[in-house]
Amino acid sequence: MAVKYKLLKAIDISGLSFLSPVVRLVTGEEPAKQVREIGRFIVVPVVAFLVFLWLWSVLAPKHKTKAGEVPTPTVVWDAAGGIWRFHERESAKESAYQLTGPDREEKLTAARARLGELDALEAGAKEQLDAAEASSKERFDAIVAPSKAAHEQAQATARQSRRDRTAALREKASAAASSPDERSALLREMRAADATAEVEKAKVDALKDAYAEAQEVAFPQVKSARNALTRLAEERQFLVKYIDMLSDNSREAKVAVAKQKLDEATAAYDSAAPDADLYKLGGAVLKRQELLATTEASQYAKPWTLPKQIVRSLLCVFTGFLLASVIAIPIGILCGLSPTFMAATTPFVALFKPVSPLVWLPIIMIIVGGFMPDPENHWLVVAFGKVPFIKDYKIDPMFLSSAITVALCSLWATLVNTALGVASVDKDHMNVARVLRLGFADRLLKIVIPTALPLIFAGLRISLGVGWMVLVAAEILSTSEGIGKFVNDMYTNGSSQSFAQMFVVVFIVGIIGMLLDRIMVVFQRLVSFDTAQAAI
Amino acid sequence: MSVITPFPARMPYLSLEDVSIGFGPARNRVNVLENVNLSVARNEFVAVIGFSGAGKSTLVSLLAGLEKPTSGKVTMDGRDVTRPGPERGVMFQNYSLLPWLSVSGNIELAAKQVFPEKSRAELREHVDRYIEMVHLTPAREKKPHELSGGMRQRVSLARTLSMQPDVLLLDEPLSALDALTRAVLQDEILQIWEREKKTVVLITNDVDEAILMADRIIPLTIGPQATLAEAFPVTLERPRDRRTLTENPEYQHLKTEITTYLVGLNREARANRGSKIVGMPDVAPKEFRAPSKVSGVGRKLQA
Repeated sequence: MAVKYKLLKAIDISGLSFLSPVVRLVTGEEPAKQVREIGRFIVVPVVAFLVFLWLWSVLAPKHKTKAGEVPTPTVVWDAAGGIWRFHERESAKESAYQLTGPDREEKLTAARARLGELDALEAGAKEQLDAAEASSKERFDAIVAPSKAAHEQAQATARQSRRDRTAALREKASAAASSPDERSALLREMRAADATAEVEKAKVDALKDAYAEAQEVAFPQVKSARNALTRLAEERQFLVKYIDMLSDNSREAKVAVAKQKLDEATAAYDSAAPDADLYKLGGAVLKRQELLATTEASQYAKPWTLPKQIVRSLLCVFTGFLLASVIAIPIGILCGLSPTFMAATTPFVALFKPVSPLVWLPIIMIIVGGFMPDPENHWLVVAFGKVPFIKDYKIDPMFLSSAITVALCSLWATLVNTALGVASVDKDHMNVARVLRLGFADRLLKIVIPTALPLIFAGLRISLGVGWMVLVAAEILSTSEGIGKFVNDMYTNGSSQSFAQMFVVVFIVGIIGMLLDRIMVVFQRLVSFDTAQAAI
Repeated sequence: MSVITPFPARMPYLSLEDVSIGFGPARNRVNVLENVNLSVARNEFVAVIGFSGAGKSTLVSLLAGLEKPTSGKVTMDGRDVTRPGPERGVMFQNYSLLPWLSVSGNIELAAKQVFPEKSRAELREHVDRYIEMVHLTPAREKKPHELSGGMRQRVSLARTLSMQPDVLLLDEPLSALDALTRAVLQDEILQIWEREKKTVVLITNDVDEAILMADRIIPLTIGPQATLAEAFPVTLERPRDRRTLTENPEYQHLKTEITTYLVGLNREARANRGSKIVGMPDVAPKEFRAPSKVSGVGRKLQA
């Protein structure tokens, strides 16, 4: 029982109230009521989502775009898998590059074995594709052949009739009548012939389109067989590269080569005749030493994959959020404490709150750029470059500009809420403070801030939500590595695969935004002394 | 030649001298309290009784130093009262507990401020003593919203007592409680008072409560321009037992007298109002909530 109530309390604090009927049902409390609640709060949303998926899969293929069909849920799911495979393979290559000794040998053997298996698999897939194509050939021909024939015939007829008309007109023209009436009649006939030709051409074009459309008729088995084959081809490509990273191109191999060259240079230097150019030989030794050091420290140049971009986006949004909180909470407290300060701040809030991130970003990029004429060696970038986890995420002026834009757009909600929370301190509580003769700091820390905390957190929650929305836009515009950059890349790519990957991003951004919001709800509930105050 | 007073041995400890207080702009000021004179002797238990809206809470604010009088003087132990302080502990009608602190946290906040020299162990012992005094030891770590109204007011009492004030100002401490809880708390406050012997000013609107607890009952006339009327001394022997008190002829007499006086005040005020209707300002109350579906409420109010 105690477990049950602890669980229910945890559910309540995390705001996942739809789970509480499940817990109650499992513990046998009013089953009929719980089933009803589950129906309403779990089954109905799930059904609604399924209806949405169905509508999507039906409607999407109806709209043709330059980037291909609008992807259906299945295609988007496959695209998500593709993104993940890309990430895994790049990570595998990265770790392969650094492997040494028996580990490397082991992986190499496994990879080679897999490569060996691929031949058979590919042959199988090819066979299946052929079979699928053969089985669908008849049906394909049945659909395509008539339209092909119609098109070809119309084309031939049109060509023939055109030729006939031209010949007839030429004949008439050569027997040119001398009277002006007959000449103008000839012109009229020629014009009429042109018009007829136009009409015929339009007909042929229409048939051609119909033929092209018929050719696009998709046969699911053929499509999936082709996809399977493509996937195997991709794997082969990866394995070849992977094996290269494990063998000839591994760091170990490169280091060995560099070492050998260094040894040679050293030997040449040591055994050189006294009259040889020792300066030149010594220089070669030094250069080889340096080369060896760089090789030893080298890393696989891993491209940005979506998971890494997501982490960078999160880093960026939290940097901006932190910045916003550090600015907004103290100012908000001052506003709440002093009506004069509030009056001074109001115009800025009113004026800057509605400004779009797309206006802030370029301005901030220029300003930040001004502070960092040489970003690589700027102290801030250098400092971030030394922090263990963060250094992998390339903190550059673009990152800082995006973070500052996030801060500028999101700080208002926290500021206004903090001011409101501080201003709404209970007069009786202040009277208690006066009777106790609490000093300013004690009043602030023991009365004012605890009172304002639920509202401050409500503001922070809104800020984080706004910040997350702003960030993706900022990244698209600034092409700072992150989710926004991924979308931008996919947009400029413009293949049907990248179109589907943009849909994947929609869901990823949505899910992350939802999780961030949930986290803030939990914080908000934990600081709320009055449970009614923390509405979801 | 000395003036003969009812309490010759007692010097005024807490006093209001010709105190008036008004609110609003100087030209249009309405005095809530006018020419109020009050002197409370050390360790005396005085009850101020009056109708709601008469300015009882303003009186407490003046005594506490939370409000400054427009004219006149508030003194305690011969010194002017210029600001609130822990030597005059106030127990507010609405408890005024800090909702994010536990019972002990609320009391500790006060005790720590008043006795900054106490060590952590001493402070804890001090807090525990007062929690024990109001019988809340089992609820030591509970938050105010987990407590009943009576328990909250007990916490408030313990907090006020833990400051060890010289004067206790009780601003209708029990009027938000149900009758049973109120009786229990009255007894507790009386027991504590008899033990600790403090100067107490109790604001109340309950004649029984006043007679049960006070040495002197002072009615507050009906505002605006309210003032304190002639006091009714309560000479009933202590400790007073609420079960036998109602049988006591002196109690019955006193109750009739005070009630008659208050009813008379009310009648007088209504008669005054009859001749001169105070115009209400032409303002509508602000509605912060979304319009409710219950439309009958507004109509009922108009009727």
